Amino acid sequence: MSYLPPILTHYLLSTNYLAIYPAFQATSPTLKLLTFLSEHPSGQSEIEILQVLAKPQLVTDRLQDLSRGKLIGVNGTEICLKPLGTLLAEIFLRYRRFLGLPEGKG
Amino acid sequence: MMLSLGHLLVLLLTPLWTALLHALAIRGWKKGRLSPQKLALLCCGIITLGVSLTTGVESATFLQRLFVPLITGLLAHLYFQIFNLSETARRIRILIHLKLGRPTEPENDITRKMISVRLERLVGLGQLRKIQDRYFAKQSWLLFVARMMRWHEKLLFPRRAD
Repeated sequence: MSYLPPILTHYLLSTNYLAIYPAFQATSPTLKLLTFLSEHPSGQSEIEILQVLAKPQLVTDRLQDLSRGKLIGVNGTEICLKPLGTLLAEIFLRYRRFLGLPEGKG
Repeated sequence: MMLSLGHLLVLLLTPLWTALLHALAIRGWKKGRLSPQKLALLCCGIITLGVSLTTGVESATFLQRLFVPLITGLLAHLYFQIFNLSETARRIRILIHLKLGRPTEPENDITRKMISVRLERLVGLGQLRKIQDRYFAKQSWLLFVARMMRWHEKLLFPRRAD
């Protein structure tokens, strides 16, 4: 059993890193919002924030990621779920129902 | 290091205990008193403490004693990240919308909603201040995390534009 602690620790540290990696890979809008406002000490109205940060790229980047990950398929303008995407959506839907929460507001 | 199989099982099932406590807390907690993330963090903390205190390591050195709280903490943090993903991730929301057969909204509407929802959430979490329709950053732990992550993002993707 002496090999277990280092393996488990290494595995969990790696898994935790993987869990936060999407925030680096696809630039988290929440983190961008925070750093943007910290660079403007006089504050910003919602309209001003939207003008700078609300770019269609926020969605298209994510659609491309899902497509590259084979979670969705894109045929022209039509988007459909692939088996892996269906499974993931089902897992998250069931998890939210188990918790007694509506779907998230992502 | 002596950790019985039963204790190891209790330790490794930390995400399950956290999910059970979380489900109970959501049903029992008065809505609006804590943000979903704060409630999830509270559950993670309670379980980490509980498992760490009940799953002891016999005849161990100081470092060996750190093993249980470290592993429980990492598992609880993993649970929190998965919960946060279900709560905030746009990619998960896209998948769920497609699964439920909902029509896709125009991209401009989605991005505006993404920002508006996040502004509301960050004010609720006490990470932003809203004064007369203007938003201000606070010196908060999340801003510190955001700066650290931005620094790491630049390290990983140096050619990415701001």
